[in-house]
Amino acid sequence: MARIGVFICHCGENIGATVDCTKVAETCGKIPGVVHSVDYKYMCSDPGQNMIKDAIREKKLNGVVVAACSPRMHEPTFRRAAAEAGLNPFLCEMANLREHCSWVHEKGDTTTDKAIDLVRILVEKVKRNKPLLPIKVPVTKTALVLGGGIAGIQASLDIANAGHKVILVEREPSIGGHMSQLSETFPTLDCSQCILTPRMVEVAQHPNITLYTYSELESLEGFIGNFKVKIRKKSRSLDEKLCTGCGLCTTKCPNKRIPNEFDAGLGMRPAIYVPFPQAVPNKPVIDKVNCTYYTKGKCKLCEKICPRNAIRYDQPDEIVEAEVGGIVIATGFDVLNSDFFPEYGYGKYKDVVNGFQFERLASASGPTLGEMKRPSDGKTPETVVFIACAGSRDPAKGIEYCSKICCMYTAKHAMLYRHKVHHGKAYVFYMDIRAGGKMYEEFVRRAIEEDGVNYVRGRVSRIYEKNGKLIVMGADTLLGAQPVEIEADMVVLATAGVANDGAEELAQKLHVSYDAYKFFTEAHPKLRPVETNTAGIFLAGACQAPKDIPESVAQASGAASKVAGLFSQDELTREPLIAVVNRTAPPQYSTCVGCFLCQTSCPYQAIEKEEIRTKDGKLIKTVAKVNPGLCQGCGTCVALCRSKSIDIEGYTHNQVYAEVMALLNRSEDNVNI
Amino acid sequence: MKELLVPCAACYSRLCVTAAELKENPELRKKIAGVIEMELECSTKILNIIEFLDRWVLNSEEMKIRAPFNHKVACYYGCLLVRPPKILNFDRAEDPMTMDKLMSRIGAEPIDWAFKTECCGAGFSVSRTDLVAKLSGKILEDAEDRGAEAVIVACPMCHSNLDMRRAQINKQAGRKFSLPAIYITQAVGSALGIPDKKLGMKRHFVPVKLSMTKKKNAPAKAAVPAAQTAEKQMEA
Repeated sequence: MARIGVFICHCGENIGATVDCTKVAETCGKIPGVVHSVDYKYMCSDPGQNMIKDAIREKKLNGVVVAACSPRMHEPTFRRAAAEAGLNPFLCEMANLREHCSWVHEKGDTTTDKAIDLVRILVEKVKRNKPLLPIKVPVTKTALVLGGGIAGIQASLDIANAGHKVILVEREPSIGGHMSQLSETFPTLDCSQCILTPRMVEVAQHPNITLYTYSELESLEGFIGNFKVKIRKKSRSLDEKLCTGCGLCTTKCPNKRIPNEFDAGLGMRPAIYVPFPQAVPNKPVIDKVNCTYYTKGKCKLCEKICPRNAIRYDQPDEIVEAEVGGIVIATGFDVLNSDFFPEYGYGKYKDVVNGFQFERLASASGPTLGEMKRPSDGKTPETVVFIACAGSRDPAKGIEYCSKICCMYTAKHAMLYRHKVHHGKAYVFYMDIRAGGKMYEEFVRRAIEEDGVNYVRGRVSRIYEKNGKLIVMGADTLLGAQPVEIEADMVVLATAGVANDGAEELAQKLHVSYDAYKFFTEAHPKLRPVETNTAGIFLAGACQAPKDIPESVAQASGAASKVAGLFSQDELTREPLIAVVNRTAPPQYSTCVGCFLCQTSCPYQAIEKEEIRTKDGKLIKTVAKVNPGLCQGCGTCVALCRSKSIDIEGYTHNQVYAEVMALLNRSEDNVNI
Repeated sequence: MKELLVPCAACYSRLCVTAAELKENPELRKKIAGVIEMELECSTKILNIIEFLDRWVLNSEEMKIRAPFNHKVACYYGCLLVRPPKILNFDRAEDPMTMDKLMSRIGAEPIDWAFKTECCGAGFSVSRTDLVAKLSGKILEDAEDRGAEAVIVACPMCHSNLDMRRAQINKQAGRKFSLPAIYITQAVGSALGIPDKKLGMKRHFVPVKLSMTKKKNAPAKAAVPAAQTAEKQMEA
C-alpha cells in the first residue's frame, strides 16, 4: 500500500510567485496513495529537510515526491535527507516546478494546474519505484593532467605532493605554456621565467609525475575513477634516452629561417630545435614540415653531427595506454590575430604587434635580448600606442566577453616600455580600466602617475602607415569625442583571449561541455567552478575562460584538491540507474531471446553473454547480461530490445507508462481531484 | 522584378536596411503596404554597382577586356557601400576587397591604402563645403602619396565631392591634387573598349588625362574575355 509524502517548495519567489503552492499541496493531498502533502518556502533548507525526515518517520512514508527545482540542483540533497530518515533514497523523486513550470509560464490557474500535473506524474512513478542499492566501483589513483602550462604544472605538483601518481601530457615539445613566454608579471613585476622554471624542473624530477611532452590525448573511455586513456607520443625523430640535450644539432641545422613559435614569430629557429633554452625536457624535436630531409629527402646533417647517434628519422608515433581515475583539463588559451582586425593592419605592418610579441620584445630571453627595438628596422620606438580591447567586448567582431587579463598586461607593457625607453611616449587607448584584484588598481595608477603613461579613453578606428610612421586614428571620449591622431613607431594590440586551437575536438573526446566561444564549461558558475558536468573531469586555468596567473594557479590547486578528494576514497558509489535484463521463473528464465541486438548497439561495451545452465551443466539458454561497472544507463539497449526484456532501473517501462497514463487519465473534473 | 541595381551607395544602403526591416517586421510591412496600396513581398535582390559589374559584365562571355586598364588605382568604397555590415553582409566593413579584386580583373593595380571607407563629407557638399574639403582632402592625400594614378569610386556622391569640390580641396590642403576621380563603370567601360567620349571621361572637373596618355604607351594585349582574365588572376 502506497504511503506517499508530497512536499511543495516555494523556492522563495521562484516558484511561489507564479504557482499557487498551497493549492498544489492541497490538491495533491487528495491523490490516492498520498498520505501527506505540505508546502514550505525553502524545502532545501535545514527546517525544510527536517519536515521531510519527520514526515517519513511519523507517517511511515514509503515514497517521497519533492516538487521544487531541477533534480540536477537538489536531488542529491533530498535523497540524502530521505536516507537519513531510513527511506531508500531511490524512493525519493523530484518534480521540477521551477525550470519546467514557474520560470517558463505566466502566473495563473493553468500554471498551477500544470504544477499539479507534474506532481501527479511523479506520484504515480514513485508508487512503482523499488529500493535500489548504489553500485561500488574501485578508484584508480592516478590523475591525468592535460596541458603543461602554469595551471597544469600547479595541478600536477599539488596532486603529486598529495601522494598520487600524475600523468602530465603537453602538446608542445616543452612544458611551460604561455607563462614561459612572458617577460615580467603583474602586479609585482617579477620575472616570469624566474618563478616558473623552478616549477618546471620540479615537475620533471618529481617521482610521482610521468611527463609526456610533444604528446596529445588520443582517446578516452570509461568513467569516474576508471578512465582508460590513449596518449599519442608524437615522434621527436630522436631517441630521448640517448640524447643528452647538447644542442649541437640545432646549431648545425642549415634551415634556420623558420619563425620561432616561442618568440611569437619574431625570431627564427632551425628545423631541429628546442623551443627555448630553459625548456623541460631540454631535448630537441624535428619540425617535419620544415626539415629539409623530410621535405626533400636529403640533408641528414643532424644525424651526422650528433655525438650520441640519437637521431631517428623513421621513429613512429607511439601510443601509450594508461588507466586513470581523474582528469584535469588545463589546455589554456590563445589570442586572436590576423585579418580579424584589418583596420589595425596586424600582419600588414610589421610594427603592429600583439601582446605576446611585445612580451618577447621586452624579455631578456627574447629576440632583442630585452632591448626595446621594433620588428621592422630594429630602431628604438619613440612613441608606442597600446590598444586595449582589440577584439574583446565587441559584438561586431564576434567576441562579446571581456578578456579580463588585457587591462593589467597593457598597463604592465606600457610600464615596461617606459622603464626601458625613458624618453619614450606611451599611450594606452582603453574602454574602461578593469583592475579588480589584489594590488591591481594600485599597479595601474602607478603606470599612469609614476611612469607617465598617457591613458586615452576611446577607441582606435584605424591604423595606417605614412612616411615610416604608424598613424593611429582614434577618439578621446573624455574630451568630447575629439578625434585624436598619434604618429606612433609601434602599436601593441591587446588582442582578445580565445579558446585554444583544438578545444572543441578535445571537449568532444572527453565528453565535456563547452560554450559558444569553445571555452570549457564548469558544472556551476558559482558553486562548482572547477568541475565539469562529466564526473571525474576537472578544469584549471584559461581553458575555462581567460584568466591571469594568480587565478589560474588558484583554480589549478582547486582542481587538484578535487582530485585528491576523489582519490581519498578506495571505492566510489555510483547511482544504480543502469540497465538490467529481466529474469523470470523457469522454464523461461528470462524473456530475453538472445538476439544480442543490444550488444551491438551498446556504446559502452557493457553487454555480455550469460549462459543459463542446469545443475549438471547442461546449457538451457544464452541471454544478455549487463556489466554494472560499465553500463552508463543511456537506455539505447532498452529502445532496441525486441522482446522488451531490458529495463533501466529507476526508469522501467512500467514506471514511465504510469507517468504517461497519469497525465492522460486525468479528466477535466479530476484536475482538482 | 528580381534584381534592382542601385548605383548610389547611399540609396543602396538605405534600400537594403529598409528591406531588412520590412522582412523582419510583418506589422510594419502591413502598414507600408496599406500606405502604398500595393503588395509588399520584399523579395527583390538589391545589387550595388560592384556586385552588378561582377555578375553581369565581367562574367559575361560577350564582354572582352580589349584595353586593360593598367593603372595604379586607389579603390574608394566610401562609408555607405559596406555599412551597416550586419545587414549588407557584402564585404569586410573596415577593409573591403571586392572592388580591389574587380579592378585587378580589368588589368588595374589596386594600391593598399588606409582611406577605403572613410567619409568624403557626403551631404555636407551643400551646407558645409569646408568639411567636405577637409575630409575629401585627406582621402586624396593618402591616395596620391601612395602613388595612385586615380581614385576609383562606387558612389556618385563621393564622385562629385572628390571631383567637383577639387578646387576647394586643393585650397584647404595647400597642395594641388591632380589624380582624377573615376566612377567604377568608367574604368570597366574603358577596359572593355568603350571610347572615352562615350564614357564621359572628358566631362570631369579634374581632367582625366594622365591616365589616358599612359594607356596609349601600354602594349595592346589581344582581346580576352573578362571571365578568363579573372581565372588568370586567381591562378596568379
